[in-house]
Amino acid sequence: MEKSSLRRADLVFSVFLIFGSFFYFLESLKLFVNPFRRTWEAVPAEAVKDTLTFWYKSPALLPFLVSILLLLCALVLMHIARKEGAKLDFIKKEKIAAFLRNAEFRAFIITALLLCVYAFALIPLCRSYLNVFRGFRGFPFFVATFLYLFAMMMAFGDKQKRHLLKSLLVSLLASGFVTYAFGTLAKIPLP
Amino acid sequence: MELLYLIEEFVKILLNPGVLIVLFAATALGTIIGALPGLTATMGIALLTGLTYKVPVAYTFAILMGIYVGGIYGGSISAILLNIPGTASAAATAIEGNLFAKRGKAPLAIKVTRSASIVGTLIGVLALALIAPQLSRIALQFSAVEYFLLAVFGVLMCGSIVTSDLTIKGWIGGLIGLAISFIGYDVISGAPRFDFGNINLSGGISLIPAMIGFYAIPEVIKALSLVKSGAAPALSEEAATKKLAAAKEKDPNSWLITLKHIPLILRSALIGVGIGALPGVGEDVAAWIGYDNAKKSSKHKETWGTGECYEAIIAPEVSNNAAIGGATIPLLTLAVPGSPPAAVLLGAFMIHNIRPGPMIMVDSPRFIFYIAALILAAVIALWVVGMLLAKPMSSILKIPSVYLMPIIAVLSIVGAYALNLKRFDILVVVAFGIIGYILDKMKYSAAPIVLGIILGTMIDENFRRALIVNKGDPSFFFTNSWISVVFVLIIAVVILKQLLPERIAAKANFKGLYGFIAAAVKKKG
Amino acid sequence: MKMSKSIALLVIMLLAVTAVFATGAKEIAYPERDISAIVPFGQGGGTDVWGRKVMEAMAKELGVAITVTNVTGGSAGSIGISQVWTSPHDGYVLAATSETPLTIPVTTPITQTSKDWDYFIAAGSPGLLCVNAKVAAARGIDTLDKLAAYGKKSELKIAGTTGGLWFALASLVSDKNYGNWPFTWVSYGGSGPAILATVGGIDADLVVASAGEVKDYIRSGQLIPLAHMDTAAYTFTAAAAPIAIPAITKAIPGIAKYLPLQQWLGFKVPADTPADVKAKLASAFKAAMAQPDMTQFAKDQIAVIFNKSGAEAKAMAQKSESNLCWILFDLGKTTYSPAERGIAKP
Repeated sequence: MEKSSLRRADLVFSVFLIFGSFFYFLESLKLFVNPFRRTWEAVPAEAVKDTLTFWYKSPALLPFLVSILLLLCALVLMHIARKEGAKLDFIKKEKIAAFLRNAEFRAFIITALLLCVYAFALIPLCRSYLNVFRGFRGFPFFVATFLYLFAMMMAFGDKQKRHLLKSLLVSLLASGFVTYAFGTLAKIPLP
Repeated sequence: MELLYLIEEFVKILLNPGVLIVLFAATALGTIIGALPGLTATMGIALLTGLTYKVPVAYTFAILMGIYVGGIYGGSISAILLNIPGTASAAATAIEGNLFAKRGKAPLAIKVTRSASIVGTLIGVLALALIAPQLSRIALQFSAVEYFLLAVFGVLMCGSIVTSDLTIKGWIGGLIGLAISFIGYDVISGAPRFDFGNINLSGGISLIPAMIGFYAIPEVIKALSLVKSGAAPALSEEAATKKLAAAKEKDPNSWLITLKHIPLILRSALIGVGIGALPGVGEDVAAWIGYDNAKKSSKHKETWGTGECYEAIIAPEVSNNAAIGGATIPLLTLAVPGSPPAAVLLGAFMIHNIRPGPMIMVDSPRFIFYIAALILAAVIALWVVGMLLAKPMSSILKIPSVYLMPIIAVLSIVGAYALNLKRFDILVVVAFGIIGYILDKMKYSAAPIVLGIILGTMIDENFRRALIVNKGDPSFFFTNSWISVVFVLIIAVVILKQLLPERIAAKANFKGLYGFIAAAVKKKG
Repeated sequence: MKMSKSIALLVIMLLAVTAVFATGAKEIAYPERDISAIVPFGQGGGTDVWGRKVMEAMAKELGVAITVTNVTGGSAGSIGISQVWTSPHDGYVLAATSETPLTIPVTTPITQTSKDWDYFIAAGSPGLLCVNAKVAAARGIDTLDKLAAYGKKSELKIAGTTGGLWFALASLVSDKNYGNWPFTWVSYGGSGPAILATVGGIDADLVVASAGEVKDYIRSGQLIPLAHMDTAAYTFTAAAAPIAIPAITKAIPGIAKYLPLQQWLGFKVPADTPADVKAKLASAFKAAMAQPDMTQFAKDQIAVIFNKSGAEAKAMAQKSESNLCWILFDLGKTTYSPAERGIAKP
């Protein structure tokens, strides 16, 4: 990232951090007053008095400190970013469009999306529908992994027949190897 | 005495063919991981920690130390051949190393860096075996106060040194790490914290999945986005033919070349051990400082940048490999990792029920020597492996990211899951991977965040434990022992240095420290 | 786009594969594959050591491998236990346990109590109150009587894990209605670190732990056992010379009404696991406990063998549960009251 856009990102992130630290502070406050999360009526006055006397035992002590320090750091970051000329002026249609066309951003989105699909859809789905071999319990994982690997390789490779065949072979071998080596040889339960 | 223990453990390893084979294989794998751009030693250790969880403990540490030693060395191969440092620690080596390759002298440069790596690692191991037991003897007097100060020092130092942009970003990273570490049940009071009623969160964020997420997934995304934008690295035809021609020439003996530079080696090794031992500052910084120091003190400045200067490849390689031993010293004796790979190792030790820290000489008195001996054996493995892999390496390096990176993503998920068998950990890997990538783009280093997660509970628990033992009176931070006073002073200096008006916006703070250390070393030399 | 085509192709392949292999599952006698056991605490602790031993012995009886995994975290091992609960209740995932996870329903949102589990209780080790030897010498508190005299007037620091059995016992000792010794409670993440801190003697002076966990430190003279946390005296025989340890009730008779609060270790399965599976597990457990080396193992671990399963074990678990949960509730250390979880008052 070049410096001007880096400082813009810093500015946005500092705003995010300021909100985040406020949220963390409020949560810490709740934790301080009512550490065991009873219903508010059920918090005995004696317990609150105890908390105040033995403040140093409170589980909220360090979270308080961290939230305050985080807020300070976020303010400093904001100050630096603004001093170096960052403004919130980039929320414009063409700038965002250019950002979305950026090859790296697209790679990021595809990778993240496919990874999510693999972890939260493919693996659980295969686990519940494809667990058909009693002697080969890694089979659902094998199928899920093969599909994921192949999709990734197709998404990022060129669209030629040679690459397609190669990807097919590589993903088949790789998913087979991972399933066998970890699931069968090392007896690691696969996801 | 210490050396005797080291030799004894070393002989034990040599007499155990199983461990030896595993160590050789791991070192080879580590070298390949280190050499492949995008796969780092840290990531290799993080992945393997999960994947080898079920392997008997005797083999686990052999695997991890092999990966560590091999990984740090492997980076130099791709740095020389492709001008892409396979690991950040090889970036300094790439400068001159690639010039060797352009001259067609890549094999010679690889051989010289190999012997430099071996010598560097060796000196690091000696330092580890000699210093660590003494340091842990001092650390035995640690109470909650010292533990607290030590952990604060670790996060603070790491935060102020590793970031490449603003120092404040290192600190923000450390604070985020601390905030994450507070999720889950509080040990002191038994109260649930920041879990929002979610049963998965109430167990806290597990370290290894978080680490795999932070180190592996962003690399996968980065490498694949290079493929997408068409900037995938490849060996050019021209370079290949040149190399072929040069291979026919007779090269001078690489060991002779290396050993001609003994004063330089000693100096670079000292830098490596010292920088390695600083919390969170890793092999990469050590390599740069080693490189810079060698350049400044060189008697043949005119040869730098010609592709004929051995000093320029020996110094960074000695430094970054010596940093392995250096980083392991505070890791084992204080439970404060000296470098990012060491931070991952700390996680690995803990899940195998070895608690590094002052009690290690009481709990497992031989463990320090065992690890030192493993590194020593890995060096020998490195020698052999380096020779065997020299030829096939250039074809291994041609594996396109498009095939390799998806497999790395799968291994990340398997590794994170294997550890605890928790589906939630898969979510942690994916979420932290995505967050880690965004943070990386904004130039936040993962090291302080991970160190914050690791040391967060140590800071939190010991701070309150110290207050409880002293009934809420904080003055004990100055009166507890001389060790705590020293810590308080160091921490104050680090903070003040950052807060001086001009320095708030200082870009590369690390330059300050680097100049300081370089000057100090020069005075001694 | 080619990509969407290839994805469509993959979906079709997936469906085809499913159709080919989706044959109906046939009932086969339990166990027909490897079993996994989850230890909700770290390696080397009592639950882990006994869990692994029992599983190893049972694997021989059942003829399949039992892989043991430590899944730590949460309060009182809640993460590991809830993982077993969310797995299929088919007898292929077992939960190694001690008495500590009984406090899960009052400290976490998890609602299952001992009614929802069936227990297999192997053994337990007596609880000992120990003092750091150097502290004992410096302050003259090397016997229970001297400690009782000393403890009432000045403060001592006692290490342990918040929640669970030893916490409940130590809290009773310092509670104003019972021992009224003004201890400062210094909390650690596990009994291992707590014992080490006491051996170090800087942050803590005393610790309550099972005899199995402190035996090496007593043997090496770093810790001195002062009291047996029960109503009868106890003789520690694992040292060079036997050590007679008086009962805690000798100094604090009032505690007796909460006793026995004893440690026990074993494993549990969800109560709605099929009856034939549970019967098979029970017979394998009995046979495992009868193996000849089990006695020696128990002796090494300074443990008493309980060997209970079925109704007998459940009754024992329920009694521990009610004692522990109500003591913690009375001390204000729970999020939920035992009453709302349907745990009877002792």
